Amino acid sequence: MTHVSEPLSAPSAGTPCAAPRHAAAFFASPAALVAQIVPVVRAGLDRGVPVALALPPEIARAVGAALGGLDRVTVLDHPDDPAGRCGQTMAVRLAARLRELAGDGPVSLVAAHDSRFDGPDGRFWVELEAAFNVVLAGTASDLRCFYPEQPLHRAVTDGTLRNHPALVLDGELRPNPLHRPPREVLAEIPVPPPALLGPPDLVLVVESARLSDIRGRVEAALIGAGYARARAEDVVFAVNEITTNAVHHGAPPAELHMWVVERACVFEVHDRGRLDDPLPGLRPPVSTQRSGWGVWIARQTCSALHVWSDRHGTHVRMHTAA
Amino acid sequence: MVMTAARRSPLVRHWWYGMTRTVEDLDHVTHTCLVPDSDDHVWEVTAAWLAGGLGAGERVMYFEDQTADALLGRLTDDRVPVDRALADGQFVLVPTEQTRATVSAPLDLFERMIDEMIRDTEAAGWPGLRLAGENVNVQLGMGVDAVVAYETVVDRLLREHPIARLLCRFDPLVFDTAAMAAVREVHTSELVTRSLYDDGLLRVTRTGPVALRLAGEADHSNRTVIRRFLDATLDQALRSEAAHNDITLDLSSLRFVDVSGAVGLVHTAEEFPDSHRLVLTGVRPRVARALERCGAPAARQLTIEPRWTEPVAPGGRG
Repeated sequence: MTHVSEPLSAPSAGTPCAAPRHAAAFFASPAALVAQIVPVVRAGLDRGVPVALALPPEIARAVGAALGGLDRVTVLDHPDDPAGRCGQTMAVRLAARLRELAGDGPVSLVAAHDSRFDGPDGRFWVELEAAFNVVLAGTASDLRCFYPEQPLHRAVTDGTLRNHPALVLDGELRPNPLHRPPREVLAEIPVPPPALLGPPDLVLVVESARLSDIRGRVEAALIGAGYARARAEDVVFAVNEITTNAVHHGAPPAELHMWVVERACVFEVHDRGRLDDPLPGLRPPVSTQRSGWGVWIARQTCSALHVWSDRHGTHVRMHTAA
Repeated sequence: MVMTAARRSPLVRHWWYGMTRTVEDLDHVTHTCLVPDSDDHVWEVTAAWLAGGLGAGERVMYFEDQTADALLGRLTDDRVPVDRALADGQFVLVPTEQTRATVSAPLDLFERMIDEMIRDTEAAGWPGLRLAGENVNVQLGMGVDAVVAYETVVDRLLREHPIARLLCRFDPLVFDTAAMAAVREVHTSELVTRSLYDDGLLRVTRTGPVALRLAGEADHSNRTVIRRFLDATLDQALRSEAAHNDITLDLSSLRFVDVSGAVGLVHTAEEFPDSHRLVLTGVRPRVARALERCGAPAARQLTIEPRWTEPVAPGGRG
């Protein structure tokens, strides 16, 4: 059995899709980075499109100083929390912010690598950029991503060269012959697993006939952890979708793990199935779509939802704040 | 006053002289038994039974065993007003410990207690006493013969005091065929209520020519069921000479719906002919939020009636 959580009609990491104007540029030093960003921002403002910045704080400050302030742009933060360390969650969040800024109209996003989020091997950035290509497909977004010429991790450069349809080389925007669709990129450089959490507080075997019992157990645990009734119900709704996917699309045995942490609960669902779409549920379903709603809705309910796969099967981690 | 729930007209088989007779009114039975398909079936029938007593002005007693919440929840779903009845003593919820003590008392003491209860009710001027509760699990620990002995005593008392009526339930997972036959023998009738579907998790009943009611949870295990019955109901509406433009689905007792179920309801409504609507009533907040996330606000032919905040006023009908 394979996981097929997205319908063929919806863009996904598994299908080639029209990429946004998504270009990468390389910098040698922080000063050179600022010097490259400023004209890109000015060009966006001159075109009259909303401009958003997703930059390390010190770079954003330097860009602000060069522009005489940041009041004409929107600065997007990169939280140092489970959401900020999950590339697919960050892509969904940033896409939502861009939609807030510009609706369906054009918008310019200027982003730069921040080594604080490299994780153990830099694959966060590969996942983030691949997810961007899914969530922003078909939009009028104009993305300029800046990466160091010599990052600490090779995956950062490898991913940059595969995820961007265009590169800025010698000051000129050029088509990138190394660009690949997200599925191919993630087959070569898989989505990284999240940091280990230690022994779970609760382990439940996931089977079709036990879904009701699992919902009851999870809801009781959430209420016990201090969740308000409505929030607990919504989290159960999300967890049920992921466990249902494991039963319906995955392969047994499947398990649900739960950790109770400060003001939050973390869930993981593991099964032995193969993930057909490496980044399911990144885009909102269209109203006529019969399937493919579950992971999208779970992503809206969880503060972070991370899907990854390895030789053991398919895994989903959900962070849910109380 | 006749409550809505009591008007649902379950069938009652009477075991007289080996013959089976069907009547259409719960109020006509005295010592009746139910072999339920599911917990939701239990609460559907128990709530209807007690609501009928409340509506008729009778005293109503429920011997709970950590089940009062489930019963009161179903009565709330059915919009049966109970607060005043609980406050003035018309509706008595016998607490768990007292229930266990009563039903496990030696047979002669048990008989005296039930007899006294009925006589007190008569002396207080109540026109009737309607009983239901959780007795079997405790008595079953003493063996099926003990259950039959207790039921025989009760049956005799009920015959001696026609104002009193009792609904008993016997779980088919607990009572084997022989045991079930033995306990059926000591009841004057058996309640048989029809459902369209009951898998122990989701129960579907017909509540009108083009109206269905769901109870329980709709999830992966029964994802095709609701659609199937809605399609059949729409078909019936289209073929009917009466103009039924609204297909009503009562979700008062639906405690959970997953994404697939919620999307299915939205799409079913959208695929109705332009002349018809799907009307969801009694929707719990949890189910309403699921529907909202799954495209309900944009569904032109779907109407969601919010759950009421009050039961039906005394004298009114649900």
